[in-house]
Amino acid sequence: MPGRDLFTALRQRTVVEQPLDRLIDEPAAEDTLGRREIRHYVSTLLVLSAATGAFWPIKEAVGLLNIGLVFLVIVVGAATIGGRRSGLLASVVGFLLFDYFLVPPYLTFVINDLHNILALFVFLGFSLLISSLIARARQEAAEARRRATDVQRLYALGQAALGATRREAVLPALTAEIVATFGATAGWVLLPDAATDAPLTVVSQAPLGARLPTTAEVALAGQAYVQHDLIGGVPRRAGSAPGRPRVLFAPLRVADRALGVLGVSVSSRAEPFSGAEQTLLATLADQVALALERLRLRDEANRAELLEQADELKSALIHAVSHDLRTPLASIKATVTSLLDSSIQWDAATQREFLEGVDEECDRLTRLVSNLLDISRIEGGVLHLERDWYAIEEVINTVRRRLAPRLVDHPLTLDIAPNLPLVPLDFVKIDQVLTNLLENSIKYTPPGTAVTIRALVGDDRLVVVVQDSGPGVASPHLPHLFDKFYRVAAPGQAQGSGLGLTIVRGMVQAHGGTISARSFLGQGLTVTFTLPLQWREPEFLPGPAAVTVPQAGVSSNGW
Amino acid sequence: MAGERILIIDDEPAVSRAIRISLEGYGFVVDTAPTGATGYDRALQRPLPQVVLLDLGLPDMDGLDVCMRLRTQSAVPIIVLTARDAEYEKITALESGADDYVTKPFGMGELLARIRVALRHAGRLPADYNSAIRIGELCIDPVAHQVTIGSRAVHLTPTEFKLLITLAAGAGRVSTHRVLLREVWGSGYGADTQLLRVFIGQLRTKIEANPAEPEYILTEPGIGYRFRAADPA
Repeated sequence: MPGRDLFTALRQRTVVEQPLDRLIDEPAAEDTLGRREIRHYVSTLLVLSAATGAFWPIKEAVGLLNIGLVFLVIVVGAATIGGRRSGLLASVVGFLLFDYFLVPPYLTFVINDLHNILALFVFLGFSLLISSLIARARQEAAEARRRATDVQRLYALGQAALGATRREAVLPALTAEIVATFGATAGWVLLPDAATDAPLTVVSQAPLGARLPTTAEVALAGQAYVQHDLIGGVPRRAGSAPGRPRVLFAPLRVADRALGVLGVSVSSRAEPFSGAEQTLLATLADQVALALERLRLRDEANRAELLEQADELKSALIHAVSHDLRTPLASIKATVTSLLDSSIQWDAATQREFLEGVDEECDRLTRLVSNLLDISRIEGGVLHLERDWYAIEEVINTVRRRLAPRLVDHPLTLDIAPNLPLVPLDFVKIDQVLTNLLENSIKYTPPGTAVTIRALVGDDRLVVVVQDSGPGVASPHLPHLFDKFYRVAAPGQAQGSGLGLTIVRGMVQAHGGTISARSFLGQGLTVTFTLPLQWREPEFLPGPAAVTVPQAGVSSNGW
Repeated sequence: MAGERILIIDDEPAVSRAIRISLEGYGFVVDTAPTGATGYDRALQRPLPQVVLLDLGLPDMDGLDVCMRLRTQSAVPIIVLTARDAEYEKITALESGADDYVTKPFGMGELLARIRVALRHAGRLPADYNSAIRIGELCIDPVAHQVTIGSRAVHLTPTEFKLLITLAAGAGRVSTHRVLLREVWGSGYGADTQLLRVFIGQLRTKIEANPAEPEYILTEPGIGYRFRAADPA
């Protein structure tokens, strides 16, 4: 592992010493006093000098006690504004100035009067005590403020994590939030990549354009991942005790697993991470881990639901198919066993009736089997088109001739526009489309019902309309008319398999065409399909998911 | 036996036509109804059918519903037509008043046999159960509590006897596990099929020539038992 020799694995909240320039591509900075702190010291000294100067001419008149009180006020002010060190500085410098300039004998540290010595040391002791008390109070207030901010951050982060719906969206948001929390220069989320087998890869970084972790830092992250512990990196200075880290990696833990690693880095000039900040990072990492885990569980639930739906569909299919296969078998079996019964002499007419029944049921089984094959080809996206340029009239007439015996009771009118162009189509498939549509009209309308086929060109497409004047289809059924196994229950009527119109739709769509149905109850059913006039390679073969059904019953611009 | 009226309630025209032609060939008078509602009405109209063949997969209403409603109005034997893999449906049908079932696709011989059993049961009065039941070699005397096979007397415990007479009373028809348990042991035993299996096993060793290939007590897998039909008179 690259960089392993640079680090020693330490337990949680201990820190790995490491030359900073190897860890972070920034020059190692001097451990300087903060600028603000220096400003506080300077102002403390200025105020004390000014007070000393002011009291110098009137020191006899004012009296030691009052001067001491004023100096105490200055110490309190310095401790309140500047903190513990300013308070200490003010106490000590105030003590020296007081002694040298304002306590007789003047301009010397020597004091003769025992009272004055006592007063001076009371001043010193008192001011030290006050400044340390004030400093502690200040620190506690700051701690409380920080805690309040942390709680707010955590709350915001938790909200963001809970509201997230996609991993791609939640991680950058959380990383950015964490970077803001720590005032960091860079923050990363590293996750193991199952595809490339790399131990950890950066999947999210913040802020925009932040640097990527160095190889050494990735190695640190790997340690955090493997050991389930917070790991930090810190500049190594000769002879110094382990310092506080400027780069931190916290594992994203859920139960006893690590999902990945959260890392933050602060600039080398900034304050390194305090113990409290390290704890905070660990807590935030837990939040991120929870968000990830929640998303994973939700995805799993979704997948399970999809599987369940597929399963339901499958059992619906099996149910429908088994019924459709069994019914013709039932009548064939009943008929044939009757014929085989030697105890009875069937007359010729009855025998013929039996055999006609068997013949019809065999046809029905054949139709069902080829329908099922067509459906599986359409859904599997392997419907192969043998297209050529044909006149639609040719197809229509072929179908009419073949169905003539069954059209006796359903007078068919053709209304074909003159001079229709040739259309690229698979003759057999469009033949089947028209056959299925006509058979539907024959099957589901009473004898004597007229059927019309119209063909025309509209909107750069060939438009074919098959219309009957039968009872029509009630509007709740229309949107499902082309759905697989969808049947409109009609008592006493022949039952179809619920596949015919699904096949019709599949074949029309394979040609790049569209199909829709309109009906008003009592006024027949109108099915309209279109075919493109140009020879285009179909962009896709309709699969079950890719199929979009034009809203049946709503005619878009006429067709 | 010719001339009996049979009503077929089935929505598949091809199936009802095939059955109708066959049954007419065997001398029955056949009516057909394509829906549950028309079938229900027809079953209660004169001339009343002597047997109803009821398909459970009807478009307008549940076949089981038709069965139950019909049973409240009439004692006509109902034979349901159902699919092979629908054990639950068969049990429910039998327990909601159907007398028997035939699994699709079925041979006409099987259907005819079931129709004959149904007709025979319908013709027998409950009082007749006090007279001896003779099925093949087996003779059961309900009054004397005696069972003989040929000339050999068979000794049965009271529970075994009760189970045998319950089975034999429905000879030719299916008795579901639950019905048998309820009739013989009481309503608290409805689910204890293990108990039933033990007693059926004991009965078979006593009355069957070869208990592994029973002649009298036939297993209807997943549903119950069918006692061998009495020989046609």
